[in-house]
Amino acid sequence: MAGLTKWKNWIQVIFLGVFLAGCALLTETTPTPQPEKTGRKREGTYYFLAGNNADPFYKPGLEGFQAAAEKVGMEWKFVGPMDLNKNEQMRVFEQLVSAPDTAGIFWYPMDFNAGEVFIKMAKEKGIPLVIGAADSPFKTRDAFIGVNDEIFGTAAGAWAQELTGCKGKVGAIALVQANTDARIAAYFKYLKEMCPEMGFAERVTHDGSVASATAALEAYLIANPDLSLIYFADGSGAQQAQIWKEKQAVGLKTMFLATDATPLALQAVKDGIFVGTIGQDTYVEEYWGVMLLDALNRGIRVPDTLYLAASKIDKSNVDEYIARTATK
Amino acid sequence: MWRIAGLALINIAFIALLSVSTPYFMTRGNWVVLIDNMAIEAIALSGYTLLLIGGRFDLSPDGVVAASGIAAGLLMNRGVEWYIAAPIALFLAVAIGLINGIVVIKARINGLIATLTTWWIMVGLALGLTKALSPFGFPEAYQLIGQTRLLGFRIIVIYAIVTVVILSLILHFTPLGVHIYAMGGNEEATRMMGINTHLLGIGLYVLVGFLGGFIGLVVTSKMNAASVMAVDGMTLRIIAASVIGGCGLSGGKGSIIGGLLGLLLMHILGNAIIQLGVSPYWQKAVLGGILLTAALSERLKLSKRSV
Repeated sequence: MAGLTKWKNWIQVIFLGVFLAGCALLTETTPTPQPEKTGRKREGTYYFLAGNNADPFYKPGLEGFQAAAEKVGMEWKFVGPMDLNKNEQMRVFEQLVSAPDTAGIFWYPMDFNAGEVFIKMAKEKGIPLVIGAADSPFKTRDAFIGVNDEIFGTAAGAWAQELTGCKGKVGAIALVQANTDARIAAYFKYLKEMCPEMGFAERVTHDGSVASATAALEAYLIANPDLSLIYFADGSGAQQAQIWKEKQAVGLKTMFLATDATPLALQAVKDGIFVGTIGQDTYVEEYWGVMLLDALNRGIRVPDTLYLAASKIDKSNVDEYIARTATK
Repeated sequence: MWRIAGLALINIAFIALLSVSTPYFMTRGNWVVLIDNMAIEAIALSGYTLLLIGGRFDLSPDGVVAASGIAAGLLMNRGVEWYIAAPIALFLAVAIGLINGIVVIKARINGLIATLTTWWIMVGLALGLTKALSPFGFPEAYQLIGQTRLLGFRIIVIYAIVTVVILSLILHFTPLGVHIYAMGGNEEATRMMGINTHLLGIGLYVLVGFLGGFIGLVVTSKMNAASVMAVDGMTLRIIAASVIGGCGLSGGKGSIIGGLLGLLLMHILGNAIIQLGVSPYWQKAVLGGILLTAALSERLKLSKRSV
C-alpha cells in the first residue's frame, strides 16, 4: 500500500514536470507580435478596460472605440468586470499589462490607488495608457480624455439652480464611485455657494441594481417630501422613468435631473418625465481615446489632458441631440 | 416558534425605535414603499426557503430574473404579443430550473458550481443579446402585471401574499411539506422510506426557476424596461434573510414566515438608513453590523432557553 502511494506521488511529480516544461516551451515559441512597417512601436490589440461593463452607458462609447480602431487598422477588445468589482478590474488590468499583444490600454478607472501600480508597469513596458471618464490624481498616465467630473457636477448644480430658482430643497442619489462622488461633491458645493438659503438633503446611494435604486429613491422621497429636485448622478437613473411617471401622475412635483444619454433617458426627457439629463458624448471620447493611443504608439506627442463638454439635454433640444449623435 | 417570536420582537423593537427617531418612518406612504419593494424578494424567498429546507442551494435566481425579463422584453420589442412573450419567458425560466435540478441531482455536480455557472450563462446571454441596452416601452396590458395598484399597494404585494400562503400551506400542512423537511434532514433515510427524493429535489429547483421567471416579468412590467441588473444581489439577500429567519444551510429546518421576518428586518434597516441620513459610505457597514447583532442576540436567547 505504501509502495503504491509512493508511485502515485512520483507520477504526480512527473506529470507536473511535463506540464511545466510544456508551459515553458509554449512561452518560448509563442511569437510576440512584432511591429511591421506600420510605424507603431507595438502591434496587437487596443483594449478598452472598463468596470460595470453591463451598463448600457457604454454602448455609444464602444461604437466610437470600434470605429476608431477600424480606422487605424487595429484589433480592439472591450474587457473588465460586468459589475462593480474593483478587484476583478485590477486582475484584468494586470493581465493586460502582462499580455504580449497589448498595444494600448484605454482605462475607465474604478480605483486610482489600486491601478497606479499597473499604470507604472504599463509605462515600463512601453504600453500606451490613456484614461477616460475620470482623471487620476497621480497624472502618471500618458493622457486623459473625458468630462471633468467636477465640471460635470458643477454643470448639474448650475442647472439645478436655474430650474429651482434657488428655492426649496435639493438632493442627490448615486452609486458610491470615484466619478459620481466627484460630481455630487461639486454639485452640492456649487449650490451651497450660489443658493445658501436652499435646503440640502444628504445624498443617498444604491447597490447598482434597478430594485435597489427604486427602493432608495422611494425612501428618499418619503424622508424628504419637500424636495424640489433630485439629481441622479449615475446612468442607472434612467431605469426609474416609469416609477417617476407614476409619481408625477399622483401629484409629485419634484424634478428629476438624470445623467447620461441612453435611449431610455432620452425618451424620458422627450416624454417630460425627467426635466433633463446631462450627457457625455462617449462616442467622441472613446473615438479620440483610440486616436490618442495610436498616436502614442507611433511616438507622436499628444495633449496631456483633453476635456469634453457635458451636454445639457432637455425637451427643447433632445431631438436635435439624438439627430446629432446619430451622425458619426 | 421561539426563533420566529424572537425575530418578530427584534422587528418590533426596531420599528418602535425608528418611529421615535424619524417623523416619516411610521407614515402610511413609507410603509407602502417599504412593503412594495420587499414584495419582489418575498416571492423569491418563499420558493427559495423550500429549496433550502430540502437541503439544496441555488445561486442562479438573479440570472433567471434577468434572462426572463430580457427574453420577454426583446420579444415584445420585436413585435411579439405580450401574452405570447410572457409564457415563453416563463418557460425559459422553468427550463433553467429543470437544468439546474438535473445537473445537481442527477449528474451530481456540486450545487454551488452548477448554479453559479447557470447564473453566469444567463447573465452573459442577456448581455450578449441586448449589448447591455435595456429593451423598453412595452404594451399597456403588459404593464398592468406590475403597475396595477390595490388600496395604494402595488399588485406585486398580492402576488407575494398568494405565493407565501400557498407555499406555507404546502410546507406545513401537506405530506409534500413533510417530505421536503425529511429530505433536508436526511436524504438517504427519506429515500429508503420510498420517497423519490430526486424528483422532489428537481421539482424544488423548477419551483425556484419558475418564481425567478415570474419576478423577471413583474419587474420588467413595473419598470416598463428590462435590465440585466434588475435584481442584482437578490439571491444573497434572500439567503441571508432565510438564515436569519431560522433556515439552516444544511437543510431540514426553517420556515417561510421566519425568512419573511428576516427580510422585513433587512428592508426596515435599509429604509431607516436613508430616513436617518446615514452617510452612504457607512451604510453597508451599519446594515451588516445591525444584522449581525440581531442574529447573535437571537442565537443568545435560544442558547439560554436550551440551558
